[in-house]
Amino acid sequence: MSLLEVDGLKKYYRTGGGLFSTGREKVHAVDGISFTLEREETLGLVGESGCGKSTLARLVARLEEPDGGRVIFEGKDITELSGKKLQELRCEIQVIFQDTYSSLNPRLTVSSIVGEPLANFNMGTRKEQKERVRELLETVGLNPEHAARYPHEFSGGQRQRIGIARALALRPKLVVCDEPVSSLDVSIQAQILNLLKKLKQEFGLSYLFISHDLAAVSYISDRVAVMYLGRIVEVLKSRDLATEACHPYTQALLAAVPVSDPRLREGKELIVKGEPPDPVNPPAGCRFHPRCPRAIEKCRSVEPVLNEVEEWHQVACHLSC
Amino acid sequence: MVDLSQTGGADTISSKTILNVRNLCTYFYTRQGVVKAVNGVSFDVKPGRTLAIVGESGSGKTVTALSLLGLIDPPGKIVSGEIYLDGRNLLGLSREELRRLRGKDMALVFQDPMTSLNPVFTIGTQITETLTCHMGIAGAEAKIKAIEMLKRVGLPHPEKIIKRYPFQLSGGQRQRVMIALALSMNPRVLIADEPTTALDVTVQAQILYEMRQLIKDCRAGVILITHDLGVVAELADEVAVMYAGSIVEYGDVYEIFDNPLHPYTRALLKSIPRLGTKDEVLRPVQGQPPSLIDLPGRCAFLPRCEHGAGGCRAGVPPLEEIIPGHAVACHRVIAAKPEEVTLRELA
Amino acid sequence: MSAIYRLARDKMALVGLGIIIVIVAVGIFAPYLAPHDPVQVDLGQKLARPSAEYPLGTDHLGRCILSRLIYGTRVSLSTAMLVLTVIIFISVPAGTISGYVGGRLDNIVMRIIDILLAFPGLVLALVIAGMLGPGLLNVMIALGAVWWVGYARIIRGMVLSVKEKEFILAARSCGTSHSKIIFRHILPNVLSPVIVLATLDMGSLILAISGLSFLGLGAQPPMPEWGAMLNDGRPYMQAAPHLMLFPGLAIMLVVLAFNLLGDGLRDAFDPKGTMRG
Repeated sequence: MSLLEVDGLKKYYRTGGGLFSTGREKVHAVDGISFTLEREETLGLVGESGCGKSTLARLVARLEEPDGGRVIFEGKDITELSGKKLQELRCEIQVIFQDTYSSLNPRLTVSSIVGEPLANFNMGTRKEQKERVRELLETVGLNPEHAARYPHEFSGGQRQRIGIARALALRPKLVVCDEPVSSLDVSIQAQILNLLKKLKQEFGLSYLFISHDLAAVSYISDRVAVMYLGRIVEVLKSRDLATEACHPYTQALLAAVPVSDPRLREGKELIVKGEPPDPVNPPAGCRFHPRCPRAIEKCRSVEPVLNEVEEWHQVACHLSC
Repeated sequence: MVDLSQTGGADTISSKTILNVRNLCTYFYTRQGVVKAVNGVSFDVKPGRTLAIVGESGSGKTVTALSLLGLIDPPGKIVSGEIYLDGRNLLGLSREELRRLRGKDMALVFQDPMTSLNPVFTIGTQITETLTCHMGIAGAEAKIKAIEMLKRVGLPHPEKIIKRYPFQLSGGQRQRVMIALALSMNPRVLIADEPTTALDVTVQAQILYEMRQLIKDCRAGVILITHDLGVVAELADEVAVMYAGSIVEYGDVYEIFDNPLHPYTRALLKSIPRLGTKDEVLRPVQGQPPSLIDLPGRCAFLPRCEHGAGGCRAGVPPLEEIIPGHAVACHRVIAAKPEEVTLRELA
Repeated sequence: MSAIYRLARDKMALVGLGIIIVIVAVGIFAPYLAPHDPVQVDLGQKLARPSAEYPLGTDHLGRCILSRLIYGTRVSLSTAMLVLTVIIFISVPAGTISGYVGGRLDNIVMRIIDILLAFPGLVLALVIAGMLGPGLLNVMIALGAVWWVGYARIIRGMVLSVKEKEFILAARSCGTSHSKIIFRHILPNVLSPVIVLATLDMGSLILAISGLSFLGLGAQPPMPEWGAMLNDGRPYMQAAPHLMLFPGLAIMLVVLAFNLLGDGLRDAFDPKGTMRG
């Protein structure tokens, strides 16, 4: 049994929404997404802005209500949970957020931020909670003596560690990481990535790791799912990413990653041009066809489905390998 | 290359360079103390070449750029140094002279093009106005020139784009417009401050590609300010690595990537994940950058340096040319200079 | 740096605070400070110029103006504070719930607010006070009924912006209840602007109460109230201007003091200036 199974998940947002709007314009943020996440696995989710990856993260964490599809966690359908049952689910699935400034309440001390989930579930006495907070701070590499400080007294990287400590407080099984390193400096990014890797080992966590940074995703993930305009176009093992990727969009993303050595820049060619289309009116057929260098007639009308091309490798492309 | 350890005047300036910065110091006088954002920075920019200033947030890279343009507002102040544009010291110029210089001789491209374009005018109006103001081209001629500029930066249907307002364009299109606007003056120096940071990877790749062509064509000297070593590898000819307000390593881009000498540069290179190297472990610098208020009188990187030794406390290391075209500010590397081979082994 | 520290460095705000403290003290110790009984009529002394006996002169009934001003402090300040308390008690829950719950409830509350805001506030208060009849309590009810609307709208707006912050999402994702989210995460981030606004509004409220009393709707004779004193002095403006001058100055001083403090508080809570304009 997989830890998490997502089946045909959908989420639409109405645009405009004013008094006189007809409300018919819909942004297809997440438009029929299915994937599985195994126990102690890290699944990376990459895509450009507006592809729906953050919405997907919130749907999985049950912070938004889906418009269709199911989320199954440890064999239980959690899509319809509410009230007490939903509350209990919070112990199992936690979230790490992108913005280290807005994700911590500026008026609370670190110890009340990290201790909040413990207090919510009455985990132990006040003293035990305090002790646990200290332990959590130590786990994420912060000085437990700083528990009485406020978030603004910390740097971006340290603030993200506070967010991680909060997410770990309830000993969850799944942690949804929504762009956890994008707002940080390069050297700090690497610190946080390494910390997340270490914590995964230590506590047997599973991650749904969302990022626009292909290199970071492939560094931390076991498998990578590539999203384009609300759909998953390819899923494969991250160690095969550079060599086996066969969806033209994945290849374009790979080619777009800046070179790691200036000698490689000569003769570098652009694969795709233009920018992703408006998710309000996604193109018919394959959503990538207007930018695809290899599009054929069929791509314009028939939408490809995610097919298994080999074990652990699925592609949604008519030309797939 | 000019010997950077000297802080002399016009006599040290090579005829081939456009912009020479010598010992630039920009401080901010805040209530908590003096923030030494830029602390003795020297570099040269050559025509048609790109100098990348790399550093993390708080390293002083953006303040350096703003100082060049005379855009430092109180409580900030350029305390000392010289900035020569074609042999003319900019720090001696009046506000008005500097204003005329900006946009014409020195153009700037910001990270967020939305805030640097005026939302109430069309793209066409903004470009033609700049052309009229700085180059005296007006009317139909300016419009033709505007369309030509937009075509050059790879924007499809420029005749439609000029009728649009900034909010009707995507981030990538806006950034292209900004680049077109900056280059329309044929500036001597183009300063690009994190030009692709706010963009998606596929869009970033396109803009970097266009920029590489444009820089080659326009013969301007380019200062590229970025935190992303990938962008540096894509565009730069020379690299200056900044840490805590000072340049710690300076040299040719191939030299820096092949043979990084400063422990900070090496750590930076080791902290970017690369594709296809699954089992490699990242080795980031530990700790946090120092506060710029009470910089100690020694190497600012020492607390985070894994090679730090007793000798590193002996004052701030000077930026010294170790190999022709490659300077570094590290006591250890400078001391090891005679045996260059061992040095490479250390790396 | 803390808000209190910043406030302590703001000289003008400290001046405002100092004036307010003095005025409050004057109100509290009125029986000890006032040289005469504020309501004692002495027709033999009416409209007297300032003298050693009556430092600010007497009014048309021969009552000591200084004593009436001193006792009037109690009435004017406490009425304004009471009205403000009522306003905050209505507007904070209304604005917070409207903004937090959103949807249909928000729509209903906002339409009510829009309707109330469509009327000029003071005129509406005048109508309500007129309908309820003269009297200080009725003026307080009328002002409260009109004034909460603006607060509720501002609070709702701030709640909406705080609600979008990721720490609210984080709190939800770790199982924090709605009431705890409101009290722990939203209100503390909303209240400091409300305090600033309330301080700035103290002046306006004192003016409004004085204004309504001036029109004869508020404090009834012989109660000493600054606005009513202005009203009493009106017929004698030519012959004895000090009847209007001193209450007018007192009102001005209090309004100024609260505005200075309010500006200082705003800068202290919000050094980046996001609340301005």
